[in-house]
Amino acid sequence: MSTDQLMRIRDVKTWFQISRGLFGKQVYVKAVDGVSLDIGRGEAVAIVGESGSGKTTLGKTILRLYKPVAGEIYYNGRRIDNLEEEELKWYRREAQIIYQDPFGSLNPFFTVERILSEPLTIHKVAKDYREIKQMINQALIDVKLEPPEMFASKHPHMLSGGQRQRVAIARALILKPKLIVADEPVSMLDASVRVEIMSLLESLQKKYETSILYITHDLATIKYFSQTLYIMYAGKIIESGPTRDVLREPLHPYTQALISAIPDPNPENKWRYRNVPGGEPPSPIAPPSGCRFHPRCPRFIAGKCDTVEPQQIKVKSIYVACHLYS
Amino acid sequence: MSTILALKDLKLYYRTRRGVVKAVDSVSFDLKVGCCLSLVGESGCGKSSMAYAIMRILPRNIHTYSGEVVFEGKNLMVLPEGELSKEVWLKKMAMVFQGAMNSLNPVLSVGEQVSEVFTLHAGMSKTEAQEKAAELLELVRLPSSLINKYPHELSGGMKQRVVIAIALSMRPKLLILDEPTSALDVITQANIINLLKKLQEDFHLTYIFITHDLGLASELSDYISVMYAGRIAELGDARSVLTDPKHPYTQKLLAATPKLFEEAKLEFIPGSPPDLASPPTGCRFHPRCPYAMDSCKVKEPDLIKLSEDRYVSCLLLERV
Repeated sequence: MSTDQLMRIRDVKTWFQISRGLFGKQVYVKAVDGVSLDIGRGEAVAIVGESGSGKTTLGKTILRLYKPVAGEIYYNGRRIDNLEEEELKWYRREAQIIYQDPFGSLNPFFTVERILSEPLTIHKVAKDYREIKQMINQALIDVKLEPPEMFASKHPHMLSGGQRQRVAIARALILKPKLIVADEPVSMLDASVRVEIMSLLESLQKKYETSILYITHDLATIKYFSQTLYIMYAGKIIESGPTRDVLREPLHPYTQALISAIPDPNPENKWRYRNVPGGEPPSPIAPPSGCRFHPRCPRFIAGKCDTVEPQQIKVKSIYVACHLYS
Repeated sequence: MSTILALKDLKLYYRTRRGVVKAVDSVSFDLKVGCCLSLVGESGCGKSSMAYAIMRILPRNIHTYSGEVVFEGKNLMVLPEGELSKEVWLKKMAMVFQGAMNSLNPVLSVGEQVSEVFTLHAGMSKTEAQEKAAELLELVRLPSSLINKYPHELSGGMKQRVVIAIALSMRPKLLILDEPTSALDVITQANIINLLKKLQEDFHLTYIFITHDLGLASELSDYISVMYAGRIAELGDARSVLTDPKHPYTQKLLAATPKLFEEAKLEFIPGSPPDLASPPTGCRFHPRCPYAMDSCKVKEPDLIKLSEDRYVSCLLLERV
C-alpha cells in the first residue's frame, strides 16, 4: 500500500435486516452491496448518486457508524471494519462528519461555544479552559465567523443557514481530523451561499491536509471541488475516475443520463426536451438481476445485461461496470 | 398575445414581532398568455410571497396588501371571497406549492385526493370523478392503477406528478409553480420539467415558475425576473437576462451558478441577503454590490426600461 493512501475500502457490504410479514421472514435491504474505493491523503473524493443509491450508508460505513456485514476497511493500513465500538474511540477523533441539515445537526440548547467544546472535552485534547477557548476561537476564525467572541455566545437559531453550516464545519475540523465525510453539505443552502461554503471547505481542506469524502447528487458543483469521482447506483459503484475525465466523457449510460439531466443556464434549454430515462431507481431489497440499471437503460442488451452482472473494467483513466465496454 | 396577468405596484407586508416585513415591495409586471415567467432569487427575497399575493392566499398577519392584481381583466384584490374560491382558484389559476409532495394527505388514497376536486368543484358523482381522476393521472404520465395507492407507496417524483395533476384538474390557465422540483433528484427533476414543457404546449398554459436556480429557470422561461429583497432587480426575456445580464446582482448570481461544461471559476456573493424588516437604504443590494457608488446608499433606483421587455433597477444604468 502506498504511503499517500489514507483509506482503502474493499468489497464492503452494508445490509440492514428487516422482517416482513406475519412469520417474520428475514429480508435484507442491501444499501451498500460490494463497494471498493480509495481515498488519498489530502484528496477530495466525491460519491454521486440519487436518493436511495446507498451513498449516505456508504459514508457512514466508512466512518464506522455502521458495521459492514462483509468486506474490509483500512485506515492508514489498520483494519477497522471489524473493531467494536469501544476500540474505535481513536478513530472517532481522526474521522469526522458534516451533515446535510445545519438546522438539525446542531443542538438548539447549546451555544456555539458549547457545541465546539464538546469534541475537545470528550477526546480530552485540551489541558485547561484557556486552551479550549483558544482552539474555539481559532476554529471560528477558520470558518470566517468573526469576531469569534460574538459568535461563540450565540445559539444556533440566531444564525443563518450558511452560518450554521460554518459552525458544523468548525466542529468537524476542531479535532484536526484526517478524514471528513461531508454528506450533502450544501444542498439545503441557497445557490449563492453554496459556492461560498464549498470554497471555504476546500481552503480548510488544503490548509489542514484533510481528506474529504463528498456525498452528493450535485455533479455540477462537485466538478469544482473534487479530484476523483465515484458514481453510485443501487448500492454499487458503476463508474469511477478523475472527476474531469468522467464528466467530459462519461461511459456508463447512467452517468450519461445524470450529466444530461443537469440544466446549465442556457437559453436554448427552453427548446429541447431532456433525454433522460424514466422509471424509478430499483428497490434495494430485491435489486434487478444482472446490471442493476438494465430496466431503465436505453442501450440494454437483452440476454446479457439482465443476466450477467458487469464487472469493473478500465477504459483509459476510467473504471466502468457496463457490458457495452467488455 | 394578450395579457393574462398584470401586477401594478403590488405590495405585501407582514406584521411580525421584529416589525413590518416588506416581502413584496412595489412590484409591477405584465404576463402574456402562454408564456412562462420565472421568479429567481435567494431564499427570503419574496418569491413565494409574490405567489401568495397573486393567488390572494394570505396569512393572518398582513400589514399591507395593496396595488392591483389584474387577472383576465379583473382585479383579484377586490373580488369577493366567494367568487375567488368558486371561480378563480383551480378553475382559472392554480398553484403547486413548495414541498408539495408532503401536502398529500397520508390517509387518503391517491384516487380519493385527485377525484375530490371533481366532486367538490364540478359536482360529479363518485364514479364519474374516479374516471376523471384516472384520466388526469394519465395526463401526467402515471399509470391509472395508482388510484388505489397511498402516498407513502409512491416515490417523490410520482407524488409531485400527483400534485401537478390536482393543480391541473379544473384546467386552469395560469399555473404557479413554487420550486416544484427542489426536493427531487436530477433525473426525476428532468422528467418533471419535460412533463411541464409538454403540458404547456398541449394546453397553452401560462406559468409562473419560482426557483433559486438560474439553470433550472432557463428550462422553462420566456421571461426571467430576478428578485432581490422584495423587489425586481432585473426583468427581461430569458435569452438576454441569461446571456447579457445588466444588474450586478444577476451577474453575480450567474457567476455563482455551477456550469458543467465551462471552465470559468465559480464566484460567490459576499454577505447575505438583507433582513426584510429593515432593508438597507437606497438600493437594497448596495452593501453586497462591487460597483456600489455613494448615491446607491441613499437613492432608491427605479425600474427603468432599457428596451422592449427589458427592465433593470440599478443606478449604474440610470446615469447613461
